[in-house]
Amino acid sequence: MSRLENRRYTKGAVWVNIELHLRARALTLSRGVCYVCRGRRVRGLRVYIVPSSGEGPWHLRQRTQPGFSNLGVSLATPAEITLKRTALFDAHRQAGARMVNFAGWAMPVEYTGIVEEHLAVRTRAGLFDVSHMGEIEARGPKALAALQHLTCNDVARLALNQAQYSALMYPQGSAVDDCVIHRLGEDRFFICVNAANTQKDYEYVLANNPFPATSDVEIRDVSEGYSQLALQGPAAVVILAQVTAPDPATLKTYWCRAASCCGVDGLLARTGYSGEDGFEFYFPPAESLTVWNGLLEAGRPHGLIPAGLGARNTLRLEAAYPLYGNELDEETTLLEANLGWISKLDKGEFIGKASLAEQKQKGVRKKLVGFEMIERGIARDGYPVRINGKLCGRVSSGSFAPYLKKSIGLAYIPPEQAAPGQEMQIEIRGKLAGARQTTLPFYRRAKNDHDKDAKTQKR
Amino acid sequence: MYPEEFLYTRDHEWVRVDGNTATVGITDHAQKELGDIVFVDLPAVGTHVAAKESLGTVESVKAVADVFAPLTGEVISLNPKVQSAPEIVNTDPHGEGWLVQLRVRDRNETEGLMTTEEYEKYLKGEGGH
Repeated sequence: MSRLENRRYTKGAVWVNIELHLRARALTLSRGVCYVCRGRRVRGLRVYIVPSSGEGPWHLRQRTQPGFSNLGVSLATPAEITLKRTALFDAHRQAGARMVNFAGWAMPVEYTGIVEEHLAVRTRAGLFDVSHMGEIEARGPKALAALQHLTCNDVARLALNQAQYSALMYPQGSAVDDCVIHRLGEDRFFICVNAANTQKDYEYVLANNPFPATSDVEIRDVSEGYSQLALQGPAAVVILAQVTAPDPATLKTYWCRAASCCGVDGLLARTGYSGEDGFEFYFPPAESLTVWNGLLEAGRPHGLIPAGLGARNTLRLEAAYPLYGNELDEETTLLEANLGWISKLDKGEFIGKASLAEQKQKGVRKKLVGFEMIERGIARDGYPVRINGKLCGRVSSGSFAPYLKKSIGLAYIPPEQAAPGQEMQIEIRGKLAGARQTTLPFYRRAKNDHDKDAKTQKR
Repeated sequence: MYPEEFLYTRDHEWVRVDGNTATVGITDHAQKELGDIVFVDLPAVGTHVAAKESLGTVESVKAVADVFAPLTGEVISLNPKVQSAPEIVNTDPHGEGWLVQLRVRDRNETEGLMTTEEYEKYLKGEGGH
């Protein structure tokens, strides 16, 4: 149960779901394994801790944190901590949303239900408030060179008004964060980053800026200056066209430009995280209600409904898009995460390039694979993966897939055991259930005319 | 909302006792908390469970919840419908969405359960929705 009232908070980054843990302890007694803490103890107490830098109640994971003395005694109640709110907080509540703590933000996890919202995006359209996402701007004559050094994709390939999926890099070939870089000018770049990582990213970019002593590149965290709405689904373009100029239909996938939506000026990009056609609009927070209500009204005849972070997660999982904190972290290289396609080893020097080049030659230590359950059960984040009984990895993301109507997941396993068709067993709270590796993505939308026109797109 | 003839647990299970047979499900409050239910896992017929022990799990898209036995007894039947169409636990939690039937060992155990009035009060006290 994910009641906010049952949570107790530390001063900083985590909450503890006491009820869920107590329920799990009862299960521990009957089955020998506590699926919540999986046997780990924090200062004598078994707890289930979800970092607020993590991803909400469906990403329950165990993590031991330093400084947990007096656990359960010194923790704050929800009333005592303040979650950040987007400009649409009241609108979400009025729309009946269930709000959760996501990366320190009070965000809607669902309105009418995850399944309904997920299906709306696959078949019609859904509107997401993703204003918690961070935005970092880099400008100046050396901005391009700085980003080439900090990120793995080839920023020089971006034309004006083009966008690119990329990652901020650690020297070991892993991602500080994954991000979308928009080129708004010859010397001006707008980077959309994960909410949980915004502060970390900004500090990392400042600390690793190759031109720190010059004014040739200016880096700013501009997150507070933007709301972001994502309109996703096959009907997104038709809905948006009614209230937007210039005509969004002429914007190609992974391109962006200044646009006016519902009378509000902002940046419109044909991007998204759902596996469908769709758009993301960045604009001043003060105008949030105007754009939110304007889009919902324009979309109503087309079946548009608001969608929460729950559906956002299941949609991205069907599309096999990685989620930072699950598929990506400090320990996992881009090659291991199937992100070789954004790792441009031929573009020149960048942080992590040597590690990636070496790994490309010597081979990866683990590999991200997709699987579906062939026996009853739902694989969830963190569950152990076995092949022929031998523990060989963990589920990085697992869920029931509402559109595909089956249980699917992503898991890291030894590369030599990665092959579509390979059978595995997922340990679901102490019981083994059969699964089979599949090809990725699990879901790919049918191509439409827009895509045929947009063959020249680069990500 | 909550049927008068049911008894309730603090973990949001309901039970209807009829002679030695107890029908068990999760409450409307519980299904709302969970959201879209997509999977139900129940113990085999013939399993003996003690009160407050796990009686299976109910899973929504985003969460796993244990169902605890309100009373000690033996599982005598499972609702086949909730395994093939788990969403009926959302649509009719107090009726078609029942989960299991138990043969109860000790009817006096019902003294530890809440009446409808007590449960509704309990929900309010929890800051219920």
